[in-house]
Formats: sequence, C-alpha cells, structure tokens
Amino acid sequence: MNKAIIQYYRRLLKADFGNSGEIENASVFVEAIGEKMVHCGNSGNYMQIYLDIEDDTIVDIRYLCSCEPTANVGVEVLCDLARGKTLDEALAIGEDRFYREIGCDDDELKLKVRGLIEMLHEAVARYRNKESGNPAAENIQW
Amino acid sequence: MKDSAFSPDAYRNDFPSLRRKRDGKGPIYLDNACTTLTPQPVIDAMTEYYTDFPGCGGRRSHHWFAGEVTRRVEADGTMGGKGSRRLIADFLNARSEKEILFTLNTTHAINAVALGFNFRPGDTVLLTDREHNSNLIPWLRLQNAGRLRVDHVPMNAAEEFDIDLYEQKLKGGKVRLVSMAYTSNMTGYTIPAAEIIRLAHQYGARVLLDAAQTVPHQAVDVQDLDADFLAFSLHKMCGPRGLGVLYAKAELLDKAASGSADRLEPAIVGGGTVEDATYDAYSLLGAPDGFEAGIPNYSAEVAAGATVRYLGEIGLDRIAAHERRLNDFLTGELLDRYGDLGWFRIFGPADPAKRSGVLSFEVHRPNSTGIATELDRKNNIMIRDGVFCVHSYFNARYGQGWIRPRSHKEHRMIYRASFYFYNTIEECRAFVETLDEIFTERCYI
Repeated sequence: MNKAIIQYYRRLLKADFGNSGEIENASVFVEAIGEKMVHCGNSGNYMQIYLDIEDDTIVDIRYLCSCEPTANVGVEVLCDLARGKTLDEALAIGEDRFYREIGCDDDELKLKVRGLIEMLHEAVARYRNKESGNPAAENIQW
Repeated sequence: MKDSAFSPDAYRNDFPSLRRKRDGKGPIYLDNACTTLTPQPVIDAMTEYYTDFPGCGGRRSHHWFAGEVTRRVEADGTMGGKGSRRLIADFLNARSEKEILFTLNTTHAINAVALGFNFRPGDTVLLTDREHNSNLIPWLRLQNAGRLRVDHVPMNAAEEFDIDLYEQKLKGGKVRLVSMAYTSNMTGYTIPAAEIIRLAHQYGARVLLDAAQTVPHQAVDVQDLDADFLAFSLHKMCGPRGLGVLYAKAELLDKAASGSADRLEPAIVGGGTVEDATYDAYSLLGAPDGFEAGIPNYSAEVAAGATVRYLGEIGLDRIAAHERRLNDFLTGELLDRYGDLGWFRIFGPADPAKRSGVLSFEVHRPNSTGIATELDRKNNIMIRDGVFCVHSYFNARYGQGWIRPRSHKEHRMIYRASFYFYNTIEECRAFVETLDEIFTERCYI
C-alpha cells in the first residue's frame, strides 16, 4: 500500500471513520458489490453510499462498507468533498481533488476513486429521475 | 522412492509453474486445497494422449489408437501393465478396478450417489456441520423435494468429531446414509472415519466419504475403512482437471444384487452405458461402464495413472509428515505474533497435527478484506479468501448477512493457506513476514 494512503488510513482509524454510517430515510442510496464499480475484487466486498439532499444540496453523505483500506480512504474523501455541495458542484468533483487530498495517485487508488465518482454520479442521476417523477427511476440497474 | 529424508526440493523441479517469475520473484503457492500444481510426468501423460493416440478407448472402437487408450486406462495387470483404473484401485486398496467409477470431479461423484442411491421415504442423511457445498446442496435439494431429511452432527468444543452425539443420532434408526467430509477443506481436520463407518454399519446405515482433501494428503485404504462410497478429485493431487473418482463397494454396484435394499443406480445414462436397447426398452451394462455415460475425458483418465504413480513414488506418509511440519511451523509463527491480540483466530483443532495441510484463520479487524490480493501483489503469495464453499457454517456462526457488516467493528474476513509436499518452510516464513507487513500497514499491530 502506498505510504500516503497508509498515513491517511491511520488518521481514519484514530477518528473511527468519521463519515461511516447509515442515513435513515436517505434521499438516495447506491450500492456496489464485489468487482463492480469500486473494483474491490474480494469476497465480501461491498460499498453503500447514502445521500441526504435538500434544495438540490447534499446536506449529508455517509457510507457503509466492507473493503480494503484504499477504498475506505477514497470513500471518506468523497464524503468530505461532496458534503455541502450542490448536486452540480458534486458532479464536477474530479479525480485530482482526491489525489491532492490523499497525497498520492497510485494505480490502485485511481481504480477506487473512479468507481466512487461513478457511484456518486449514479446516485445523483437516480435522485433527479426520482424527483422528476420518472417511473423508471427506481428500477435503474447498474 | 527418491530419498527417505524428505525434502521438497527433490520434487520442485518437476513443476514447470514453480519455475515462473513475476517481478523477479517466483510463486509461493499456498492454495492447494483449491487445486494443486501439475508435475511434468502428468503433463506429459495428458499431452501423450492428444499427441499420439487421440481416439476412443474403452469398448467403443477397435483399432490402433483405441487400443492404446484402452491399455492405458483399462489394463487390469493380467497382461503385464496396469491402466489408470487399476492403479487407482491399488492406490485405495480397492478389491477390484470395477469399484472405481470415473466422474467429472468430487461434486459429480457425490451427486451420483445422491441421485442414484435408492432412498426410501423417511430416510435421513447425516452430515457434519461444516460441509462443502458439494456435500450439502445435493442433499438439501432432495430434502426440498421431500425425498429425505438432512441432519447434522456439530463438532464439539475442541472442534473435533462428537462420536457420542453421532451415535445418538444413529440410534434414532432413520439414518440411511452418512455423508461427511473425511478431511475438512475449511479446518483440515480429519474425522475418525473408521469408527464412524463401524457405527453406521452397526445401525444399518451406509457411509459416503467426501475425501477430496484426504486422498491427496494421506494413505487411504477403503477395505480397512470398510467404506461404502468414497469420492475425490484428481486435480487436488497433482492430477488432471475434470476427473474425479467415485469408489463404490462392489456389492452396491452389482446388477445381480438388484433386489438388495442398498443399491446405486446410474444417475446419468446414455452412450457407453448400454448393453442393448430397442425402441421401447434398454438394459444397462454393469460397473464401471454402466455408470460412465458419454465420451469421457480420455486425456485425464490416462494422466490419472501417471498421477497416482507419481504420488506413490513420493509416499503418502511422507507427504502427510511434511505437511504436518509446515502447519506446525506456520501455526506457531502466527500464534506467537497474533495469538493474544483477540482479533486473530485459527479455525479447527488447536493442535496443528490435527489440521493436515490446511490453516484457515479469521482477521476480525476494520477493512480486513483484500489481504489475499495484497499477499499476491507484494510477493506472489497465493492463498484463498472468502468462505471456501462452506457458507452454511459461517452463516450459522456469524449470523446471516455477516458479509455485509453495518460498522467497522463488525468487519471480518477469513483466509486459508493450504500446503502440499512441494511447499517449504522458507515459503511459510515469507508468508508470515508479508502478512506482518500488511498487518502493520493496516495498523492491526
């Protein structure tokens, strides 16, 4: 594991994973399992992201996971970056923001970050479809 | 036998895959309970079939190539050479090569019994509480269809077989078949099969042993055991993929004994199994032909003979002793480092000598998944993660849904290192040192 990721992960452990948890009655929820999306790749890996959205703004974002440290570092940064942002601002968050925050851009981290950004985009699309009354919104398969 | 003082180095050169390099480092293969590496004599035997005589053997065709196939698979030794079926019979000390039925793998062999044994309404099949899905799902399917009932014998507090509880269940008089993993793929523990069979027979039950993790690692004598059925796969013993064996006692296969209470009928019929047929009727051949429908995997059948010859030359007792040494060393190293930390636990009996070549452990720490991938990435160390096809045990132990923890405190993952005769103490040391590095990075230690 990259040293910068290890350092970041140690801070998360001390803070007891500050963004971890479930949002009851979340505005939208997305999930990725195994190889899908976050490329966790091992038995038991999963990532769930919950968004609470008011007036087109992400007022809270949390996650539940079972994954290795790199993915966990990535999702913690995602929560910090997206919380308080409007949906459009959240959609504009690029990979580089993650790498600057963490202090490295190794290949493993890139895979996780791209998967997490994809999940965020999926969550926003799903929320907007639901708000627009599109009956297909609840049935998106991904 | 090559030498009496066992050294894996005497055999490692037989394995082309062990000579490979990635990032300048060789492989450290500790996933042998899943499948084993293949030595050159076995590769040569498989290749020989496709290169020299790729025809139909058995009793199908009668020509040059067919004769070569038949001789290598079916020769019974009376004319000098022995074919694979006879060699396997000798390997297991079966009475006759007709008791050796070729299947696709162990799973297929167990299904052949599940679908072919003449169960009666009210019968119970008795399992342990930690069976591989291959020895659970076939029985659950029959239970769901109302054809039998499935019951379990849990291991005792020492993680060993509870013979008293087992006998209590037999006393109920409903158990028709005992079907158990002879050696667990999860813990490496070997059940006391001889005593289990003796008691089963005393109470009128037959016994099927899932010996997929036993036959490759220790000497098995089916006559000494008095086993009724025994299943295993060649690929877990340096042999070809796609070939398993179902040993079945002759009295259970004998056409003349069709009136007996216990009998195995072929689960799959068709080409190669038929004595004669009309538009309305058919008669089947006896064993083994009647149980081996369709064109078989001739290449694998030819190589099966080379496989048991190869293992026989090494010696199963020496293989077992070497695996015990490896397991003893690795268990000691792991427990010295992590045994008192509260989040590291080895599955199965405490004594590594009772765990064959398997060492499964739980890491109950945040973000404990992905360690197998990191071992591979860092030092080409190949082990297994997950639940090893024993979902039922882990769901019972941790509660269904444990694989989706709701907090970091609930994170856990299970890993398995499994050995064979070509593994070394140096490989075990590299495994521990790399694991230590990963645990350090993750702040577990």
